Amino acid sequence: MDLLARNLFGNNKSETRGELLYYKLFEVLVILFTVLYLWRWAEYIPKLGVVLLPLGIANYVDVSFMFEGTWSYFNASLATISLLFGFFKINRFSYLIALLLFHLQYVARFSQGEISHGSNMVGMALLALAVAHIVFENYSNQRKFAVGATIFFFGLGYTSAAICKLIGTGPDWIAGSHLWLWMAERATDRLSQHGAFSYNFLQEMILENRWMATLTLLFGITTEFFGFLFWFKKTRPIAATLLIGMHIGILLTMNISFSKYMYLLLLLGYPWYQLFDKLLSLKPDSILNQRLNKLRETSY
Amino acid sequence: MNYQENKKSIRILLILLLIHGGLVATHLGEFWPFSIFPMFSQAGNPWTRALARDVSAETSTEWDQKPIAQLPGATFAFDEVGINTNDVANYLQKAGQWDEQKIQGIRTLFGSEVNRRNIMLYRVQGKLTHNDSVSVLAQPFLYMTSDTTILNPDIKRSK
Repeated sequence: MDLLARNLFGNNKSETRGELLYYKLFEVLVILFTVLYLWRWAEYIPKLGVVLLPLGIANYVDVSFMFEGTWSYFNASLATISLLFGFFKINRFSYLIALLLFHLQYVARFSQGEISHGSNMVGMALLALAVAHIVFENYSNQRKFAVGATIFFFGLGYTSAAICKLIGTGPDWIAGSHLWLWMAERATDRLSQHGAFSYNFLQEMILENRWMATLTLLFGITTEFFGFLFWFKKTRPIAATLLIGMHIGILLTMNISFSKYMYLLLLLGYPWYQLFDKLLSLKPDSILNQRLNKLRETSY
Repeated sequence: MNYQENKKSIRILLILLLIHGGLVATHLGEFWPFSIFPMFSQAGNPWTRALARDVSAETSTEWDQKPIAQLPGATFAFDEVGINTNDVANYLQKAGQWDEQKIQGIRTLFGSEVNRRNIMLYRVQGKLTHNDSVSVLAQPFLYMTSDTTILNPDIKRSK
């Protein structure tokens, strides 16, 4: 446990300016992605008419009111304001409020039967920020917990996905024909969504060679299974690189983009703060350095 | 973080993990943002998707199943009405018995486009055949015009 804690939340050293900049970048990215989802869904929700599959809170509350008028826009506005309140530390419960409103927006948007996982990690990161702001007084600890908890749930999510595959299908999951079947499904989706579709070179190769299809699935499930290696500092960059590679593979073979996962993996997977520290030390009197010094001293 | 703060962080993480476990265990693996990430866990299972065609120029309505390349009419992209193909496909997969409310739900998704064009919505089904190749066939599902909505007579409809 102690080893895991040190790998996720760091040691007793005081926070460097590079680390602070890195944490702030993480916070900004999470807010930006949340706002993008909120407003994209706000535009879509009024097109819906019936709740076919109640998810989350929709199991207990009828969320069809969100389809009427401007409720989805109102919810997005409220959540955006809460996010800004959280970022500027106006209220420590702001991120939690934003998360609950984000949840409402999600269950309204995905009430039609599709269970989308594209936003889950952004949601988990926002949850980590919300809990960090409520539980910790010290700003530096808030930041370390938010990033550490997000890293933990990232690793857990991938390993859990691999286990689901092994339970749902078994070792036979990697059979190449399974990938062919999913590729045909996605080809139908692309055709119906955009009106045209053609396979790319890699897809044609996979459709012609069963061993390539099997190898692609084997790489995918192995990478996912070892997702827990993302928890440890030493193996994190390797795990991140493999997971990003896997997402690029999914994009190229099945045309499914998990872009927000990739951006978060890119940020959390590598020790960018070391680079930031080096760059910041080049101009110690810069405005950015002064601003970061001031930020390090503030707390609730 | 010092030793005590690290311990506190792990304790909070365990509480979050318990909440995560409790919510996904009682909500079929999904309580956003918590999830067990079961996507693509059932490999080799047949699938159902949606496809629409503009059949305004067609003189008769056919209800028999065909490969996509042989479907009558012109291309109709869901992008044209700003709806996501997953939502239409999920209607076709998960709606169970069809009633007026669900049929109207689909018409609502297509918006005013059904007043301008005659649209045939297809239920596309894919499966692995016994020789391990993929078969994809489209079944006409719902015919929509400005004043008519006809459900495929073979589809179960509740009164």
